[in-house]
Amino acid sequence: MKDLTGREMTASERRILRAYRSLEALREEPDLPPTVVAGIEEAIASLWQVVNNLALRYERPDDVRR
Amino acid sequence: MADSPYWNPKTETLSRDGLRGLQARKARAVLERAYAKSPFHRRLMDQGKAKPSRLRRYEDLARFPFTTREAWMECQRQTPMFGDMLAQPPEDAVRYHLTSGTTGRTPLRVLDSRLDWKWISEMWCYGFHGFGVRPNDVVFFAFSYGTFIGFWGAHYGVEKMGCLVLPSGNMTTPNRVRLIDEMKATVVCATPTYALRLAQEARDLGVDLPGGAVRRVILSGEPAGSIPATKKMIEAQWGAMAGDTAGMTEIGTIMMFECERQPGGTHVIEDHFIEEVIDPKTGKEVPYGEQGERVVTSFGRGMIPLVRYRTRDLVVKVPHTKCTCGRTFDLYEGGILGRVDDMLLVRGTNVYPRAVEAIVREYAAVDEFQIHLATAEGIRDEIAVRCEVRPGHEAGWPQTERSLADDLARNHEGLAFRVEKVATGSLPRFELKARRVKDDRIVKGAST
Repeated sequence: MKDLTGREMTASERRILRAYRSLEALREEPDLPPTVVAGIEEAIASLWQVVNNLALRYERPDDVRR
Repeated sequence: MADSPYWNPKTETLSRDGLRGLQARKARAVLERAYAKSPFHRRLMDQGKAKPSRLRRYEDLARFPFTTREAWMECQRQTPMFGDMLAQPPEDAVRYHLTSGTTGRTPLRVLDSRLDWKWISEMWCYGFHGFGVRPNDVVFFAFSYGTFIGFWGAHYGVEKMGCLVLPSGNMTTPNRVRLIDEMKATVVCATPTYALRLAQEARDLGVDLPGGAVRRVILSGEPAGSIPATKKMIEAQWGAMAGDTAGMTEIGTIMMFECERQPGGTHVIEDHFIEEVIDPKTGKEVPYGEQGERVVTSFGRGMIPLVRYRTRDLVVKVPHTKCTCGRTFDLYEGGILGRVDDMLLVRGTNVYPRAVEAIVREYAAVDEFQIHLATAEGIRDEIAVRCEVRPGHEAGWPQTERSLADDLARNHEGLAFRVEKVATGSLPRFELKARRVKDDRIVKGAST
């Protein structure tokens, strides 16, 4: 799997991307209490910044949600 | 890796080709999103007959229309309160800010989402880490925490890094000095003007700043942070290294920072911005080493996409190789050199307040100053530099006054500057952006 600069992702970069995607999936679960929703949103935002900084993906998760 | 001099080694040391490729991919995505979600940007691109699909490589960005502050303000007038530039509904926002503005001008209103704030603070992390700030630092902010965005992102940035933050909110200047001293702050964030004001207050209170714990002064908010004489004065009065940063409300954060090597300029954070430098008259890009106007495209702010925004800031871009730090991010030599619209026309001579400050700050005898313009005999422009004299320098003032007037004239095509001594404490002091020009002329010189 390649990053946005065309380099092959390292093993830890692939794990970061998987963690980010898994948080995104978690957010879609129904009936989550407010504390969980807010915490996941915060975690997604933090990991989005990492994914963006490492040029793994460039997207806006708040667009995906709508 | 934790002791890396770079906050983000992967992109800060990426090859120039790699960086250009990354910028092109991000720019294309920003344009597509702006076109799809922001009526303002769609209108602009349609008028300019430039569809996002036309951007295939970095150079193609020049085909897209500029965004101007006037157009942004106009859209906010047409569609209060935020105009039609937003790419997301206002409900996505978690914070509201205003431009610092100047008297009589409508401020720009901005909204930012949770993601935007993560990014805003991240940009400050590049700067803080790059200037040697680390998790064990104690960071003091001389900042009022109001609707001016200023150091808000910096505050969150150093919290993220793990530093201890000392917010000073609406504290008085003497109390701020006491807090810095008592808590043994190691990093102080302030405008250049206010850093000097704090140092003056410390002297009055008998606090020995140069012998204290502060090792870094992070400057922002005014071009003076990169004026060598001003920086030298701040470093001497604080006994600490001073580093410049620059940002603007329109982008929400900083787009450049000075690294620990202090190369006489500031690195552009090029994995998160495209910074073009253009001739303000023709709109064409100027080569390295030539002064021009900054035009910024941001990859970070989602609520308000920013495409080719004309900042009116004057800069000179030089290659990254001018610095030995190893970053591949290009630099702005001397930081922000002034504003396209700051130029004063005095009897046919162009006068830039930043250039005047660079000369005045060579004189240790001058504590605070003001540039005063007036109309003499109803027709003639006169320019004076009013100076408060630093205690202990009174005896030599007549000689300093002559020498300063000569220096100012020599650097301004012979234009005569009157240098006037004024009473200590009579000139205004500033916590945020200093306004040292007082223009009382009947007819003000054209600015361009």
